[in-house]
Amino acid sequence: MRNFWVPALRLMTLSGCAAHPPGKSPEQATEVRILARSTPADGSTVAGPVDNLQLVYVRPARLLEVTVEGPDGLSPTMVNAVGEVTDYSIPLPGLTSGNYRVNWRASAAGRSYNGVLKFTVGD
Amino acid sequence: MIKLSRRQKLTLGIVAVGMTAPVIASHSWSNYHWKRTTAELTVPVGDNVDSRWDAYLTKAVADWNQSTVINSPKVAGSTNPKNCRAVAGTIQACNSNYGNNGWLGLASISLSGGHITQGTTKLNDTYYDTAQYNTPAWRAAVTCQEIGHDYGLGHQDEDSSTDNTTSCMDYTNRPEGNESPDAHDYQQLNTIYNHIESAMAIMSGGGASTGADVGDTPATWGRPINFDRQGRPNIYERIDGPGQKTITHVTWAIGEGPRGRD
Repeated sequence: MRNFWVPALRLMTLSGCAAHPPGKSPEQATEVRILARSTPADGSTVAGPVDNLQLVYVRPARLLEVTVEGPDGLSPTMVNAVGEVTDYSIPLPGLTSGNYRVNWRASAAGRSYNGVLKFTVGD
Repeated sequence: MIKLSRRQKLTLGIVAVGMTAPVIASHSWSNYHWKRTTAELTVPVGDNVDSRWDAYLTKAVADWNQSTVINSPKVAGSTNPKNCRAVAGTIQACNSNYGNNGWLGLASISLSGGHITQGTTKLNDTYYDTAQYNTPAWRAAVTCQEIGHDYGLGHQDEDSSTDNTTSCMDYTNRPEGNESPDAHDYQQLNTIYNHIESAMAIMSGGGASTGADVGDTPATWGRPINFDRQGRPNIYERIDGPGQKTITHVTWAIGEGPRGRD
């Protein structure tokens, strides 16, 4: 797969096109350094219903997008942040029992970050 | 010299065609879109805002209705603005003191079967009641942007230190001049909502289509004209005849792509 993309990306680069190769981006590797904690916490099991998602970053960041994937499907949210801040609280529609995956995307000091956290809402 | 397999040559061919075609800068929100069953999208926008926001919501709805594919009525709200729960088949717009939670506005959508089924716009008075944000430009720009997201638009630009466009879909710290959609937003809506399901709906209303059926594989979708963040083609264009084309939006499953598992 990697060899397959090399010629295509080289061609696109020569032509001045921006492209993102498949796989992890450098930003994803820095995820753990910018997200300090979340509520519900990654890997936790909590009692429902869950009405809020709290994200706390280690340094001010502009949260751009949060997508919750669960038993009821995909629920993306675009966030118009007040600027680069450390604490966010995003309302959720009362998540009930099931497994959930949250993808978030943010920027800080001109750099992009994204990450994933998973939690379970118990019966 | 690099020797390419037949599959690699085919892919390079697709890439080259994409680059010689007119550049279409996409700012759709991950190809999320409502299912359009009539010539225009008529998703009602529920008014749950108070008098401080009425004029801005009215303006935003009117501005988006300038699009040739949207004709949304503003109707009485049907949710409690405090929690602004979504109502199926509608966009509900709300304002309230949601707290010092880091956001001025939120646009949330729910998806089912690849389509948006409901949307909400929340406007946070906790910040709008402050001198910094209590301005007509901030109120209009964010109201316009959140409603735009609910139709499936993303941001034209996400660097808030710049002010590169006149669009409300541009993140900027200087919202004056960005209170409405711009021509590119309307073009993007045309792209998002000009695809096969709408063509079929129009055809059933008495129109004619010369296009062949759209199958389940890229071979029947024409050429790719846009790519997702993983580099996978996600919008294809097929020319069906003079003035006729079929746009196919694809949302690939995780790990999948045009050649199977990527």
